[in-house]
Amino acid sequence: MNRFLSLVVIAALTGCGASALSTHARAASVAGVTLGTVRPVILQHFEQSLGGCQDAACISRQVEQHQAVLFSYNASRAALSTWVEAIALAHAADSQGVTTDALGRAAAGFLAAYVDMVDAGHIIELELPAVPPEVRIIVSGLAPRGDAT
Amino acid sequence: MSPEQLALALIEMAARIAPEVIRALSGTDDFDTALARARANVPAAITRDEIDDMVNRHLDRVK
Repeated sequence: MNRFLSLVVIAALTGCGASALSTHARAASVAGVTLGTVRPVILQHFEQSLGGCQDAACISRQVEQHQAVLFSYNASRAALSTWVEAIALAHAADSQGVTTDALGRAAAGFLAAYVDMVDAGHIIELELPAVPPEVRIIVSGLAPRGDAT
Repeated sequence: MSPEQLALALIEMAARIAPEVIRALSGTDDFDTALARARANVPAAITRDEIDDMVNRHLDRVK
């Protein structure tokens, strides 16, 4: 999908009548699809790396080298779940105007964890779908830890 | 981060690998449906048991 199509999709997302909460829910859905696609890629890479080992020491090394990406996958998943439940809470509280910024931060928390996962993948030569550079800049200004770049 | 920026970020990221993105975004759902879809799309964690199973299988192989 090229950028043009992305923009078309965004127009559909944010067009007439689409609330910010619904947009968040759809964006979170996309995030879930992405992360769900990444999951087997990480596990397959881990499996293949283990498969190249001929001794226990090598297996231990592979476990150690994959820990960062495995951890950050789970951190991304937890952040996504938090974001989704924050959307639900905002809707239940009928406080969309007050919580839009908080939801943005929840989304940025997910993206920050995702960026960490992509970076951890680079270390073990595992290429995961990257976050565009300009998004890293945005996330770095919103993420709770402020270190997403 | 505005909803538009957020959507662009996630779409660009997802579109590189997941044609399902289009389906996830096919956008006439009401809020409740969109939320239910978002919840359903949160993938499973990678558990310690999964990791241990893989590692133990390979440890058995190299013994």
